[in-house]
Amino acid sequence: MKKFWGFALALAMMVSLAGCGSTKGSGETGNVTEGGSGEKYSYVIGHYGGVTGQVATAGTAGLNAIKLAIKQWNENGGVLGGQIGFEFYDDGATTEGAVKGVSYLIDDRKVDGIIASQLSGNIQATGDLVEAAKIPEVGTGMNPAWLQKGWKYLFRSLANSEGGAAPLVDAMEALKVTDIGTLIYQDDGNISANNLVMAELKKRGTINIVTEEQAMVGETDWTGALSSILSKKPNGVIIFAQGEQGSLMVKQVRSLGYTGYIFGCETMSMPDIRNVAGSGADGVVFFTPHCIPDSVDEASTEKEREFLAAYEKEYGSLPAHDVAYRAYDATNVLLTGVKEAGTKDGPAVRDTIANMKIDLLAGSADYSKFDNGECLSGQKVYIIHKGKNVLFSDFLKENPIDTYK
Amino acid sequence: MNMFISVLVGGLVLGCTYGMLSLGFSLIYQASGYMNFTQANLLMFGAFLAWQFYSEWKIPFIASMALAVVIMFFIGWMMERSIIRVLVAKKARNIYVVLSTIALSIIMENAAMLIWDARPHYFPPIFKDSAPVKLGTASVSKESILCIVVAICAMIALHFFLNKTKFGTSMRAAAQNKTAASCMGINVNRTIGITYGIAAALACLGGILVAPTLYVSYGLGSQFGAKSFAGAVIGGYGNIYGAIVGALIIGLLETFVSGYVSSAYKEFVVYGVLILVMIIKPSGIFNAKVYDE
Repeated sequence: MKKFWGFALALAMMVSLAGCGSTKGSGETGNVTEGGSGEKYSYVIGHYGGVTGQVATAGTAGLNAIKLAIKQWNENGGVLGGQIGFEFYDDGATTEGAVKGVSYLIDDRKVDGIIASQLSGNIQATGDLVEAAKIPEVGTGMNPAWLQKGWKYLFRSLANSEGGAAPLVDAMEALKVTDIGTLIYQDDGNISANNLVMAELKKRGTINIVTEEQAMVGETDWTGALSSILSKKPNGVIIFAQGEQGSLMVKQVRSLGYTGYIFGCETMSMPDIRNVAGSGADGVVFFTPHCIPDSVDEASTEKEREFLAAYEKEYGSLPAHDVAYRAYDATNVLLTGVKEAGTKDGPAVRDTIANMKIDLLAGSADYSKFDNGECLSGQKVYIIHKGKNVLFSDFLKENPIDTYK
Repeated sequence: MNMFISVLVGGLVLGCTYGMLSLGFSLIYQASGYMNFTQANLLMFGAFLAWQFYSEWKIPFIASMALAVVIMFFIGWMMERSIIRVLVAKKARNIYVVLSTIALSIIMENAAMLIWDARPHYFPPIFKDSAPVKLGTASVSKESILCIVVAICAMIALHFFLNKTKFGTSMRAAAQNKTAASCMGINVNRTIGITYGIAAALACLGGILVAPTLYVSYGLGSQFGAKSFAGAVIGGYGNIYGAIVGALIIGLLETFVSGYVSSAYKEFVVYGVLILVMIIKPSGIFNAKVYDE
């Protein structure tokens, strides 16, 4: 009897703790079947991404946006005369998970098209599977490499990070940066983005790279590496990391007394950077295809305003990561391709997308301009100033370059 | 000098956090003879509770911390009472008891994911003024100083609790010889249960102290678990002073290698040292009894 009460007490404690749970957010785990591959759907989209693991914020934002886009299409009659189904596999942001996920979506769920993860490494690892199955896939990762493989069924819904390197180095030069240290999170996307910036820096030869530090996947404390960077007295620090880690790196480098400019990639547009680092986020300069505003009213285009309003209505808040923009665009690219092709046949949809022009949140995309699945080029540069994301060009017009030093 | 101070403080913060977990590993091993692999996820769960109270329910930080520590103490106690004790009573082999703690650990991780979702949750600042404190010419965050101070206070309090209180004496007696302690009127089961509770409370405190400098997520525990265990082994598994020293060594080693050599090599060095210690001096710094005679 005593054992029973002991167990009951422990169980009651766990159940009562469950009541603590926040109702916000929509993290999901496992395989989510929104529709399925049954007869009632005229087209089934599959998506693999990580709503758990190291980049859950981005993964959740992307999943939400895909569901939103599909809902909007279904409300407008769907595609090919029927409703659109949806299958999801949580790959935990791991490569093994992504391979399992793509196999599951293709072989078990028989999806007709795929929206890929935002992790370029995972897209690259699964590209052969998608290609062999002749299923069109639109990816949201920014590494140029996976569209340089010669695959014919893969597309991207935004400009790759190649277009960010030159504008970011332009910004460094405009801010009179002479010595720079780097801390790079060791995942595929960040290594690739950093390599492009390093190549640009070396090509120009105007800025001295004083030290290059690595942040290993899974770490959360970079005091040693950041102290090492600061000991070289740089007047600029490059931090390329996923948003979760980047926000902590910015916070940690500021707590070590560094008050100068920090340079980063698109993950620095994540609102968490400002939430976590507070005023320490001021002075972070980054390139990005999308920059999430603080409110719907601050959207830069009507299309963005409509998207943000719909997202906020559906999920109660604005996206926590710009992957939401990319995934929303990717879904619209795929479904527009299907609609214009008039069939769900993979090769026909692929050929249609390859010649398609479409207005996206990322801008006016034209797949016919490229021969490898790209549709846009170039990136915008922003700076966080007084707690807001401001276009770098606007910042320079109104502020001296030594605002952060 | 600036760099040395920054790296030292960073290493102490990590070391103190590892120390809170290592202490739990050693306390439980000393009291019951079992390894408990729930420690790391007790840290995570405790940090989540404090986040819930402080960030979501707006309870003052000190009260949130106290509340979370008390709840985790009872969770630890109940875990021993309802699972570990049942297995031990059924004469289960050690490996089954250890396996049950691994299973519990995974359950806790998944429970946290279901309750608070998989995204990271940021702990609001504890201090209104977030500007770092100047130590000479080096800058150190207030949260880091708080973490070190509270951890040291907790360790000193634990030392006095174990050495100067009746319960502490009972605990040590039960650890040395359960039968003899029982004959002397000591309630051995209750003593072991409370030890699990203390270990859980310490882990929780570690989680709360490190959360403001990081973030709270279901994976928080796994970042600290392996290195804390390594700290306990290096210090001498089962020796609470060894656990603290071992954990501090790991924290400092990790940060100094990262700062003065390269962050790419810190894991090699930390785990390399662990393997060397296990081969050359398996009893650890404090000569704990590790191998069966």
